[in-house]
Amino acid sequence: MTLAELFAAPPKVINVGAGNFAEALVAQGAEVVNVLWSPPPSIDPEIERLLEKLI
Amino acid sequence: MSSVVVDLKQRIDEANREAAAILVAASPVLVDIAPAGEVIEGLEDRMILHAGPPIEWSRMCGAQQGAVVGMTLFEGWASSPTEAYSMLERGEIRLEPAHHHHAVGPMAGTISRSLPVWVVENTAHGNRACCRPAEERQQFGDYGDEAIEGLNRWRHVIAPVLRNAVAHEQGINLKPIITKALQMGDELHNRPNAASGLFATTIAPAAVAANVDQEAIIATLQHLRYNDFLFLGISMASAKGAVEPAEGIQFSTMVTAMARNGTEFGIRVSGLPGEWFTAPAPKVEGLLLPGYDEGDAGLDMGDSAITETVGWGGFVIGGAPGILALTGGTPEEARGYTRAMREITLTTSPDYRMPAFGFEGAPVGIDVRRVVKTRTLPIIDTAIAHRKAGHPKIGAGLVRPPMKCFEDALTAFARRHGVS
Amino acid sequence: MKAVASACTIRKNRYVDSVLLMHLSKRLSQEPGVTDAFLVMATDANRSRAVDSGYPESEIKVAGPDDLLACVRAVSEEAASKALGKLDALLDEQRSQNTATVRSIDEALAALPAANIVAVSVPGAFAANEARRALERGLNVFLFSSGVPLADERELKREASRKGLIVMGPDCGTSIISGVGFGFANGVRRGPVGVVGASGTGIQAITTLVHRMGSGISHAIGVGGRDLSDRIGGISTLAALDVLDADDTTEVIVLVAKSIGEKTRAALGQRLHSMSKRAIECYLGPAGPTLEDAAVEAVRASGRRPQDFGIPSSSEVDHRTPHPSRRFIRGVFAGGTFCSEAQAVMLDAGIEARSNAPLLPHLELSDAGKSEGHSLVDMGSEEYTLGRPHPMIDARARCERLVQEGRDPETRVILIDVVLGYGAAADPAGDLTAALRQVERESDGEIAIVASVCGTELDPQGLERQTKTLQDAGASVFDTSSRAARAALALAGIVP
Repeated sequence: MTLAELFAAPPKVINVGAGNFAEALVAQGAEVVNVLWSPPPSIDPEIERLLEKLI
Repeated sequence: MSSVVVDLKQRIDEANREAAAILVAASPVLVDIAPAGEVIEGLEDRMILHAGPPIEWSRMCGAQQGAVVGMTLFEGWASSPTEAYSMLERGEIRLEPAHHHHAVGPMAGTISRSLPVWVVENTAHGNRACCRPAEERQQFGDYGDEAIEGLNRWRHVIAPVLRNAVAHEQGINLKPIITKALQMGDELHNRPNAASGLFATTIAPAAVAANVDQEAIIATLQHLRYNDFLFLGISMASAKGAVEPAEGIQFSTMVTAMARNGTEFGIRVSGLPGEWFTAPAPKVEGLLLPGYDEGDAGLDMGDSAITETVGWGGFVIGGAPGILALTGGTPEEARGYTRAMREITLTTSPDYRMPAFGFEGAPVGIDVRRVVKTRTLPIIDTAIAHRKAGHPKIGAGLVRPPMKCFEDALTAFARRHGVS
Repeated sequence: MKAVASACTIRKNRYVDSVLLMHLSKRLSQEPGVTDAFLVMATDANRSRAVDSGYPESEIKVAGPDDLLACVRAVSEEAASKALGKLDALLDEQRSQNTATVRSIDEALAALPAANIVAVSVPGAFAANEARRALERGLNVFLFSSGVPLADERELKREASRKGLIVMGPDCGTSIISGVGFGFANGVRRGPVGVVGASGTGIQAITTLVHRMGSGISHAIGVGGRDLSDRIGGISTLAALDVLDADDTTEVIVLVAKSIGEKTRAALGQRLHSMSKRAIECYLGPAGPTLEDAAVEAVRASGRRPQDFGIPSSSEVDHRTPHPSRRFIRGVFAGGTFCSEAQAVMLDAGIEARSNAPLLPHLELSDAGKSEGHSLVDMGSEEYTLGRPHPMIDARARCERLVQEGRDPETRVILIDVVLGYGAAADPAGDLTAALRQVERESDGEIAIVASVCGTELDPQGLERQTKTLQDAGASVFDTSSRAARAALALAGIVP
């Protein structure tokens, strides 16, 4: 949805990160889905190097 | 970036396109149910095939050992479990991966020459693959009387009736059954219920027409009626037959097998034919039947991940949300798993378009590179065996392969093509 | 637990698949007093298993293969039958939609297909990835996270621009879209004033002042602190201006920013010039308009008269005549904009206060942890918030600094901002009270405490209540940061 379209409808939010932001949005009556985010596991630098040449 | 690197990436992409195309073009037909010794090349006397990568008797997990003992008794090579164990300890029985013989088996996956196996031909390429019957006891390591009795009933009563029925039909076309079942909420691995039912209704008239022993016919139809997991053996053979023509494509990084023996998890890759990449078998997360707890559970086991290898099972769990009852999950999670599998697959199925995803094709063909890059591992749903021999099925759940298998495969692929 | 009783029940002709049966077994086995729960379709094999498990054959044998057989063992007859009594409810139970188990943007989109914006506040190293995913899915991004590499910001904003989307941020503290506040935002009524801001507290200040003057906000769009630098070129700012210019509910636009790149200034100037609506520029710096001035002008430009607002007589606190060594103003701010505004007011009065976020580079504090002369410290800046909660949420770091300044014999005035609104602490004024009282005590009342409160009566914390709490703690409270800064100058004996 473009920015202009965003203004035309009430915001429907996907929250990624701080849970209290989601709570604040809910308290203001917005529709929210809260993502339970966790950092992705890191890649070994050797493997990272190989990947760059293969994909 | 050097043109050599660009060249390699292009070759890999081309090879992967070819491999994935072979997968989705598969056309499985059930052509026979025959004693394994008749249809599996290289399956000799005093030899038992097993699920997963190669493994010696001493390192086999308890449940797989129990299943091997069960086959030894079934074949009559030993007349008691004690005798069977001694034979196996003395190395008198050869043990080889079913995968090395164009075959697969669920859980312990044990196949010996008298056991009737499903024979499926991939008519798109003419190759055949076999799978042993799925059942709830012996393949989980139970070698008790009831377990062996079940195998005997299959061997002497049910398989012959089905064999005659299949011959009468000149083969049962599996693609329509598979496609319909997927649309009905099956995933063909731990939820093959609709497929089993469709298969039963498909073969029932032929079973009657091609056989004379009414008791045997009734026993067979009862067996079909009460075995929701029946079709797993057929779907596994179909999957194995679908992927074998895609093996050995020089620059392809597509996964051609995911298989476990309860001790190790192994994968095979198209562009690295003949090699296994293994890591210690993971623990399955799920629900256990009453009377069992976490300490009882064996580790991930079985060739049944061949279904995920061709894009069924966990990959289409988004269209089979009922199975999430195994892990207390939600339909959203189920859809999330399928969506995540798009990150690591090469193509989508032209036949199975998923209503839950606006009729987008299901994700098919695992790319080792993408698994390593996105850190997204294939999702597999699976049954759980006891860690010790002598028990039937104890539960079911979800599991992922170890990342090490994919990283090792990637490293080997890179080395083979002069990349360091 | 010792099981002494068992109970069985049959549901005729009720098929339940094995997967669900396992799940139900688990649920029933968790009932109080239950040691075992056994649920199967009553095939011959399963009936044998039930009998082998010790359940009464007389009850089991009446079940057939199409019937559900449910057995439990428990510490008492009562516990067993109570548990079994829940069977029907469990069989009929609908799984509820639990949105909290969603783990990625894609899964969230499945749960809320009409989503139009993704709010990202994960650590900076991962934030760009999430923002990218959102843009790929055609969603606008509110990017609260800081520590996002500049190159990523540029790439994200260019991608957004190509798709007609906006990235609000990174390091964007506040936006208000169609009356819904993102990040730290205040309760303000809807109205004709649109705001574009490179600073979160700047947006908070303008929006709350416009509300308190009786007008309201259409939309407030944060663009992040680096958007107007030449390396980004104002991509989000220009997009925001365009959309507000076209928006029916917006009549006038306020642009709040701190620094603008040379090249960007030209592009911005052109855009402002060609807009159909009046744009009021509020660039924080010496000789610029204050936030209050900009708010007044905006309200007037929309054809309304700014209402008087003001905290009724913020009482003059009685101070003992301070020791002559006490000369300096020490600002301990939660909001960067208020810190900037105080610097600007003081520069206008000929005072060069040092800061960790200086308007003029040569005024940078050599050690942000130690004030020198007049010093205004932004406790919300990155060096303080890396790994620690923002001062608008957690006051501990600010309280420590307040006590530290209170112990400095050269401190004459302590200047603070208190920011209310969604996302902020539940009682920001209350969280400062102990420290303020301690400052009063330890300085024998020789330090004047001056506070401004940014907020409205619609905020969860309540503007009046927060003001009173501060006054009770000994602070003189002012309605805007510029008024507070001027009061601080007066108390420090500095006449502009």
